[in-house]
Parts: sequence; C-alpha cells; structure tokens
Amino acid sequence: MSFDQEAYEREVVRPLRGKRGKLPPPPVMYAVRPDLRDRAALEAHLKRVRAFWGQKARGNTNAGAVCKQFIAADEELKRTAGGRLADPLWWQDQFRQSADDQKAARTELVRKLREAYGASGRITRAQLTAIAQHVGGGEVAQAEAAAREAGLTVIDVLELPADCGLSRTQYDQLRDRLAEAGARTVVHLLHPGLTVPFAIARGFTVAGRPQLGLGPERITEQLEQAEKAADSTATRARKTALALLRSAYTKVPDLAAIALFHIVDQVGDAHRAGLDTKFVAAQIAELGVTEADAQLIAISLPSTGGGPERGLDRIQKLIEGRRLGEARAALAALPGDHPEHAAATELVTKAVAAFDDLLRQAADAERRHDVAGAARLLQQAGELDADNAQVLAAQERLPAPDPAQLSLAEHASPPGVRLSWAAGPGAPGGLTYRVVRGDDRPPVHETDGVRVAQSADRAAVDAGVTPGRPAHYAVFASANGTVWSRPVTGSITVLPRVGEVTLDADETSVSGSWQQHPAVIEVRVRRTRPGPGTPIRVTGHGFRDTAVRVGEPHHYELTAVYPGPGGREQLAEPVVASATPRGAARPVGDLAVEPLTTADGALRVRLTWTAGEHDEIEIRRSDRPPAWGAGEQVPAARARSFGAVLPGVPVVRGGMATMDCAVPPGQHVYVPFSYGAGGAAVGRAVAMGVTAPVTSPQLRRTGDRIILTWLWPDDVGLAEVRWDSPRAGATFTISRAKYDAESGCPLTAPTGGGSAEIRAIAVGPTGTAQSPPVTCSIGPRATRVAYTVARPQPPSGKPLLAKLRDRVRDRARVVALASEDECHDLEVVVVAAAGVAMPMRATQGTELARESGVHLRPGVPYPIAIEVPASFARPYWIRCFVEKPGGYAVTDPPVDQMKVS
Amino acid sequence: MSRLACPYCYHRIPANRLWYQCSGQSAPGFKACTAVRDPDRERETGLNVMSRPAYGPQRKLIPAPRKEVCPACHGASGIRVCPCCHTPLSVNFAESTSPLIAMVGAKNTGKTVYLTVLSQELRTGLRRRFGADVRVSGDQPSPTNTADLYSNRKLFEQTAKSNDGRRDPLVFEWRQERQVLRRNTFKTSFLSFYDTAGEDLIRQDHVHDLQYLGAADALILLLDPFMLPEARDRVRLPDEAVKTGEPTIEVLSRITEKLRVTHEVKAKNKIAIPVSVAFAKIDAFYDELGSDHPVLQTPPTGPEYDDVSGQAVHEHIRALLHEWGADDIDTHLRFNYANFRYFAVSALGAQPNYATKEIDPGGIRPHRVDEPLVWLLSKFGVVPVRGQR
Repeated sequence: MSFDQEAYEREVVRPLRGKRGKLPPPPVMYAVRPDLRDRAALEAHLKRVRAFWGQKARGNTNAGAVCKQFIAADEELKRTAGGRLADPLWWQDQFRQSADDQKAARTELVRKLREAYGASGRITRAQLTAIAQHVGGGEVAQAEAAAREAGLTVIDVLELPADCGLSRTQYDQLRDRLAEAGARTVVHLLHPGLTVPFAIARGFTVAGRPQLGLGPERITEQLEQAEKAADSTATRARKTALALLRSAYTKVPDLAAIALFHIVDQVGDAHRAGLDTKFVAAQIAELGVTEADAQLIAISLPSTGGGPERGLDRIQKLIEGRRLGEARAALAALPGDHPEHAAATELVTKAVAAFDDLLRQAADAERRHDVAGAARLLQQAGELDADNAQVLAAQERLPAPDPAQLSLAEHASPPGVRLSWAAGPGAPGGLTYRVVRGDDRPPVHETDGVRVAQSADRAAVDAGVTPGRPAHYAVFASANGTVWSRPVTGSITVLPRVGEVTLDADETSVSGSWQQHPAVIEVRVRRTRPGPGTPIRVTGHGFRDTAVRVGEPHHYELTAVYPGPGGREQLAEPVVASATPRGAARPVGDLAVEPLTTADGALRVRLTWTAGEHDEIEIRRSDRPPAWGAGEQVPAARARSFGAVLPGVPVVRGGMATMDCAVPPGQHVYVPFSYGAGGAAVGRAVAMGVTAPVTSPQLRRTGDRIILTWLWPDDVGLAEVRWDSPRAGATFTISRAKYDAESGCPLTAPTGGGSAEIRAIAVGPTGTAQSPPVTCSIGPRATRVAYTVARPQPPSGKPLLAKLRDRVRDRARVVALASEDECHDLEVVVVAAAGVAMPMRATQGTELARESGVHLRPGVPYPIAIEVPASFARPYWIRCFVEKPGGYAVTDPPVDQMKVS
Repeated sequence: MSRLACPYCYHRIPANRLWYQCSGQSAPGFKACTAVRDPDRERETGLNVMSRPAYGPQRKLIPAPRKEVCPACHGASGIRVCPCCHTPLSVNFAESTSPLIAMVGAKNTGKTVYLTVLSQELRTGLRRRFGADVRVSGDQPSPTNTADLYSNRKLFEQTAKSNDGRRDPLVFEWRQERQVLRRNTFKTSFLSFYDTAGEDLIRQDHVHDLQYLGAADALILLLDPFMLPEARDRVRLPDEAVKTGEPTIEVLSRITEKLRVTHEVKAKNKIAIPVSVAFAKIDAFYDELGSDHPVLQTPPTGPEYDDVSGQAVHEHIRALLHEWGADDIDTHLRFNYANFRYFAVSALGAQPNYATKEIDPGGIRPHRVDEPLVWLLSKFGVVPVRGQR
C-alpha cells in the first residue's frame, strides 16, 4: 500500500489545524486501511507515516504542530501498545473500535441535532458544516445523514445582498420615503393593493398571480398613478421613492434585490439584538413575505455572535493567525467600496511587504551560506504565513548548519581514529551526521569517500583506517537525510602502540609479550634501566632478557614500527613496562589486623607483617575467604582479581611492615599476596570485622551507682564493655534492649573511679564485626564520713532520778564519726539550728563543737559530746559538717537522729 | 459498704453492687442484644462508643452475684461495669483496693512525660522490684505516648485542654502475691492516673471543673523547680525551658482550694489524702547539688518502700526550698496537708533540647520517678514499708 502524503495532509492533517488535543482514531492517524494485513508491509507503512510526521514537525507551521501532536501520541501508543502496533490483528481491533466509536458518536450527534434544531425542523448547510467541524468529527456528509436521521431539513442559506446598489444616502432616502408613503416594502410601493404574501428570497413571485412582477414598467405605471393622485405628504413621498427606484434600476436591474435588502434592513436591529430566528421570521412575515421565505431569510441572516467576521476584523485575525494567504484572498473578496477596504488593503500590503522582505533576506543569507540566518528568516516568514508553499519549500531545501570543531584522536581499542565534533551554530536538534573518509584528500560531498558512520551522535570511531598513512575525514549534517550541509574536515595519521604488554620476571630473566596491529612491520624493544638503553632481541611477539639483576626494577620500552608513505618508517609512541627479577614468592604467614581508634570516627585498620627483602606484598580485602589455601601459588592476574587492594605504603621498621588504611564497616577477609617468579603466593588470611564505634560515651555517678551511656551506631545491637575500677573491674556484653531497659549501662564502683572501654559489635551473616574501642573515665568518689547522733549512755550506777532528769532535759548528745576509709587531719563542726528546715551549711546553725586534727580509722568511731543550749526550742536540728580539708562527703544519719521535735 | 472511685468517671460506686454488661450470648429462643450507643457512657466519660446494654443486679443480694441474667436477652453475663458510666471494669475490681491517683501540676511542668516514663517503669522496673503482675486495665489500648517518647525520642506537644474535665485515664492493674495465714493469695489493686493539662489549672473555674480531683484518693503534685526564681538562677537554662511564669504557690493554692471543697475539709482541719510533692527536672541540678547529695542518690531497690531514705530526701528538699526562698510552698503544704512528702525526680535523666523538643541523645535515664508512687502505694498498703517508726 502506498502512502499518499498529499492526500493524507489534505484529509487528515489540515482539518486538524488549530484544534489542539483532538486526535483522530489510530486507523486515521496512521492512515492504515483494513486491507493492510501483512506485518512487514504494515511496519514499512508506519515507518513512512512517522517519517512524514518528523519531516513536517520540523517546520514551524500549523501542519507541523499537528504532526508534533501525532508524534507525541505515537510515543504514548508505543509505550502502551508496544510491539502490537505492527500486529495486523491489533489494527483489526482498532478498526472495530473505531467503527463502534463512530456509531456511538453519530447516535449522540443525532440526539443533539434533534434537541437543538428539532423545533424549527430546519438547519442550514453552513450550520451543519460548522457542527461537522467542531462536533461531528469533520465529515459533513455524515453530519448531513445525522441531520436527516434527526428529521431535519437541510437548507442552503441565501446569499443575502450586502449592498442594494444604491449609495448609502440614496438608500436612506428611499427607506424614509417608503415609510412616509406608508409602504411596508418596495413590493408594496409597486403593488399598493397587494394583500397576499409574496415570495422574495429567490425572486419576486406571488402565489397564483404570476403576472405580478417588479419590472421597470411597474415603476412607470405607479408613477403615473401617483401623478394623478391628490397632493399630500404621502403622495410626494411615494413619487420620490418611485423616482429613486427608477434611478436605481439603471444600475440594479433586479428590484427584487433592493426589496430584499430593504426587508433585511428592517429586521436587522431585531436580529442584532439577539432575537430568536422564529421572532425575526415572524417580523419578516408581517412585512408581507411568505412564511417559508420569512424563515429562510431569517435563518440566512449573518451570525451576530461567534461567527466569522467580515471585513477588516477578519483580515486582521487571519494575519494574526499566520494565514497571510487567506488574508489576501479575503481582501480580494472585499468589495472595493467597502468602508473598511482601504484599511484592510493597507494591513495586507504591509504584511505582504514584510513577508516578501523576509523571503528575500532568507535567499540572500542562503547564498552567503548563512544557513542559520536563512533558517531564522524563513521561520519569521512562516510566522506571517504558516502554510506558505514557498516558505515550506525553502525550508525543505535549506541545508543544516555546517558541523564544527572536528577533533581527531587515536583510538586505542579497537585501534583506529576517534572523531568528535560540535553542531553548527543555530543547528536544531535531531540532525543526522555522516562521517566520510577520503584516502588522499578530504571528501567534498557526502558520497565522496568511504562512509564511516551515520547517526545522530556527534562522535564516531573509525577502526578501518590504515596505520602509518594520512586519513582525511569530512563530517556532514542533514535534517532530512537528503540535503546535506557543507563538511567540517580534518586529517590524521594513526600509529597504534603495542597493547596488552605482559612482563614475567624470575631470578634469571625477564620475559615480555604483547599484542600488535597487523600493519606493524616490527616491534623494537629497548631496556632503559638498568643500563644506558640496551636493544633487546625480539622473537615473534615477545622477548627474553637474561642479563638481569635480581631485586632491581627493569624498565623496557616497546616501539611499534609502521610503513609510511614513500617507504619511510613511522614509529608509534613507545610503551614502557617494568618488572623486577625475583625468586619464587614467599607467602606472608603472620599478617595481623587490628582496628584503630580515630578522632574523626572513620574506620581504619592497622596491618602488620614480617617484611622480607625484595618482597612485593599486596594486601587485598574481600567479603569472602579466598578459594586458595595459605602457601598456594596462583597466577598473578588471578591474585589481583581477588577483592580490592588496600591502598597505602607500608612502613618497615625493625623488620616489620606496618600499614594503616581505611576500610568500610563489615566483616572482611584480609589476604596477603607475595608476588615473585611464578606468580603470587597466597599468605595466611585474617578475617576481621569492623563496625562504627559508639559515640558520646559518658559516665555519671549518683551515689554508689555509676551509669555509662553512649550513642549506638545504626545496625549495632551489642556492645562489649570493659570496666576498669580499683575494686570492681569487669568485662561484659550488653544488648541494646537491656541498655534501653536499664536506661544505660549500670556500673558499680564503691569508692574509686574507673575507666570504661566500649566496643560496638555488629552481628552479620559472616560473623561479628567489632568497632575500635571508645573510652571514657570518671574520677573517684569523695571519701565519705558518716556520723550518728545519739543520747549519751548514762553512767552505770547513776541514780534513777538523775537518769530521768537527764532524759527530760534531753540536751546532751554524742556525735560519733566513722568512715570506711582512713581519714586524716579533719576539721569537724557540729551545729544546731532551730526551725523546720535542716541547716544546709555550718553557718546556718549555732556551732556546738569544733574538732581539729581528727583522724578516722575504718571501723573506729570518733565521738564528740555536745550539749544543745536550752535556748533552742523544738523543733531543732543537729548536724555535722567536715570543714577541712575538701574532698569529703558527709553522710547524714536518719532524720529522727538529727531532728529533735 | 466499700465505695471505690470508678477510674473512668470518678464517681464513688459500691464495690459489691457493680452492674453487668450483656455478653451478647442470648438464652435459647431470645434475640441476642447488639451493641448500641450508650448515652450514659457518653455523658459520663465523653466516649461515644457502641456497647451492649448494661444492667444492674436483679436482687438485693450483697454482694451481687458474679453473673446476672440480661433482662433483654436472658443470657447470663459476668462482665462488670461501672453503674454510672457503664465502662467495663476488671473482674477483680470489686475485690480490690483501687486508689485513684490524680496527677496535677502547672502548665509545662512535664506531667505527660513524667506519666509516660512512670507507666514504663510500672511495667518494667517496678514490676520486677515488687514481683507484681502489672498490666494496662480495661478496654483501653496501651498508652501510645510510650512508643513516641522512647522510639522517636521526641517530647510531646502540650497536652490538650480537657473537655468538661474528661480525658481517658491510664489505669493499671497491679496484682501481687502475698501470704495470709501461711497461704499464698493474690491482691489486686487498680491504679488510675489522670494527666491534666496544665492550663486547666490556671483559672479557678477550670479547677472546679476537674471532677476527678474530688474523687482522688491520693495526689501526685508535680512542681517545676524552674518556676522557683532562686533555683532557676542557679542553673543554666535556655529560654525555651521556661515557658510560663505563674508562681508555683498560686497553682498550689488553687489545688488546695479545690481539694478542700470536694473533700469537704473544714478550715480548721488539714486535707487528709496523701500527697506526693515531686519536683521534676531535677537533672538540671546535678552539677549544682553534686553527685553525693542525698536527693541524687540511688534509693534502695528492695521490695518495699524505704522510709528512712524517703524521709531524708523529704527533709533535704524542704531545706532546698528554704534555701531557694520558696519556703512559702513548704508552709502552705504543712498548714494544709496532713500527709505529704517531697520527692525529687527526673523523668528523662538529662535536659532535652527544648527548642527542637528532642531528648538527650544518651537516651532516657529516669531518676527516682517511681518513688512518689511507691510511697503512695505504701500508704494504701499495697507495698510494705521499711524503716518506718
């Protein structure tokens, strides 16, 4: 099936101009016919349709806007329907769906038509066309069928006269004189005795009286009768009106047209006031017109609302709507004596001049190869007349802006040339670039040479270039694949270096091998160190250097040689490779790993191992253990593919190598590899996990209890706590749940202080990971001095009466000091204070006793006898304070000992 | 007749004449009762929930039988409800001591945080310490505040004002084993806590509206030391920590007035119900008081209330009040309350960030939050006392 682009544009695209959001069903949009049942043909057809859309969408036209909508809808459909778009069965479903939709739409249209026009039973063809365009999907024939189904009569509207042939002044005189003469219409002026309705829409006729007409003889006849009539204002008016008609007849032979114009003029006000057609028709009928003609005239009156404007307004809108061509046509159709003709002419002339000027400038720019400028000017012209064929053709033949900034570089793999370039200034998106290579000169057009690449990318690689010889490149751009820009060109000579150089060293030799381009005629190898630059003999794609020194790095320079023009040699950039001759690798057997504490909170580990002379050691980290056992020899390449190497330079001191490096949290396996002759020796692997440490450790004492708190890292549920205290040290593990339940980690330290070391422990699938320790400490508690307040024991043998008297007085007390620790040289004060509140300081009471140089021994009480003065009324308090030295805390006895009430 | 306060509507109800709620299992041949809106429950508690009909004992037996037949569906039910508000009560309620403990305090004192931490302590530390079975009682869900505070580590927004004095109370059932005549028996107590919004106490008429104060058997009075000017000057506080300037003595006076009215206490007498006067946010004074100060000591943790330690703290707080120029509080309490004790508590253990409402990153480390409650429980004989003379 061929795709008729013109028909498609005419029938599908153009009717949709300016109707955003209204898209036809897929079969119409893709122009797919039901007989297209072959999948391959369908795919090809869709490709052509899409190409058409893409071509049109590049233009700044109304049709382009429609095609952009189609492209957007197509992308959405590709997303939803996917590959089914190329399936004929899917399209059969679409046809069925479309038919169903059309049927439903038609039923709806019939209902609406009946609702809107059923009362009058008529609809004009213009109305029907408008309905078809705006409601019914654009098919006028279908709209007509729907109207018939709705029981409506489709009528063709009258072309009502815009002009009666008389000048405005003459017509005004005629209208006034008719009114003065009592003639409702021109017909009644010529047929004063006419009492039956007359037809006037398509010529003057009176049913049953074919002899009646509106010819000049009738004017003459009536003038004669007027002359005979008695003079009056009405007669004079009648004569004047007839004279005007006779005068007009010389210019307008059809008096029926003047009569019709007069009738329309009489109902014009009512129509413009928005009266319904039925009322207007009734008014016309009252003027003597038959009912059928009255309805036809009323319905044919120009729309007063949203209908198309005429004259200057319409032309103005056409120009604003980028339809200059239609504006010119509208101007041509406007009568020369139309009052707005001059203004409309000026408007159109001005726009046409601007349009022509833009086209002229665009042509000049194109001649100067200013493609971007020409495109811009054509776009501006398109904004004046969007569908102008001249503009569209010029845009079609305009080449894309020339590409720029071509960069050529040697490409390593595959060996060849890498090209990159920039889009030309002002270039639109979606351009296609073609890269062409010429062997002896740069290509001058898009088919001049070997096509290297063609795509929308602005880079390409040419692997087909011959090394050692100049290659000339040209890059062209095109918007439509047919018109190509001028090229941007460049030349390069590539000389690929040898690749994949591998050196193997043992105690006696260094062997090398490499890969080279097929065009290489020779590879030259030179040892640059040690020595001044010694050539090494090459065998095939390799060499063997036996004059080596063990433990010293050896550097080799490998240079590829290519044949150049004229038989000259062309040398590629040399490749330098190094190796150190060594004996067989010895595995590291004593690798140790420990987490480090860092101030910044980063996770680091320290690795230590015994350093050997000439050893090349690499520590690699992995989340899983190696497949090899310790001491096993593996190829160096396999060793280097295990995990990730730990970065850092080991510091060797005292025969031990030490290296600190950052690691991510988690459980890791650290494996040392020793590289030497024959590959790598696998050392003893060490598994160790590290996790983020706890933060903000804090120790707080409340009496004998110490609470240790910290912030847990995420994903850590256990912590190991080591509590060092003079009398109560311990190491234990606490879970996060227990920590939460106990509001921290409780510790016991009766007197002394201590330090806590916390390690976060994360449990993972491969084991536990421990964080570096975090420590905090707390000082020792103040030494406690306790005391009791008691009545003195009465001396044995004291008379009972004396005992009772002492009891009643109750003023004597013994304050007994005690401490669990040795205390020296204390100054102790005992005070009494009256009132309900106990004294907080010694100064708040009255000093009863002061003892200096008090020494307390554990378990040995120190008594102080006091006597409370009789002036103290109850309640009063007895309290003891240690004044000197500092660092002592006094523990009060129970309140009932201190308080006397 | 034993009259307990309903923990939901605060009416005094006869413990041995509780009502029943239909179980929904009708007798053969009768249509089962369905849940309907209970206007009595809505009126008394503000809860508009669907529940099956409530009915009283059919006969004038004392105590009322454990099960009674529903007059509508003739099915027997043992579900006990309050005769006033028809809220379901535990089957043990009638045989228990159930002190209704009100908690009051001025605005921004930290009552909600305190009550949340206290409820957590009830279910963890206190439960273990006294070997008790503690659970949230009734058909109310577990307090959601706990999860918010402990998991999200955010302080709450200010508690909304109560509507006609109604808000869901927090009721715990405390069941403990004890020996009577060498036989192991179980004693059950119901602890009902009601969290007042601080602003309910700002105006006298609002205080009068708080029905529950009148029904309270005991009171936890939470005071904010930041409201004591001399105390506030001794610690470094951000502006956000001090949100209201209402003097503590004024709040206290209003509560006293309310209690005097509702408990019909004559002017010459003191209010008899025990009152725990707890100074909150004491963590702010750790540095000021020093780690060896008695109020910062960890109290003995045996299965009894240590009266010696409690008395020491009481007197030290009193001394601090005098030191801070707030002796008017002490005087007011001494002159109006027959049975009160001071406590120093910290629900969070460390100052939160008052601006962001985030608690200290170190977590929640409550300090002596349970002591006011344990002292009250000792007063009701729920827990034993050690060292009392």
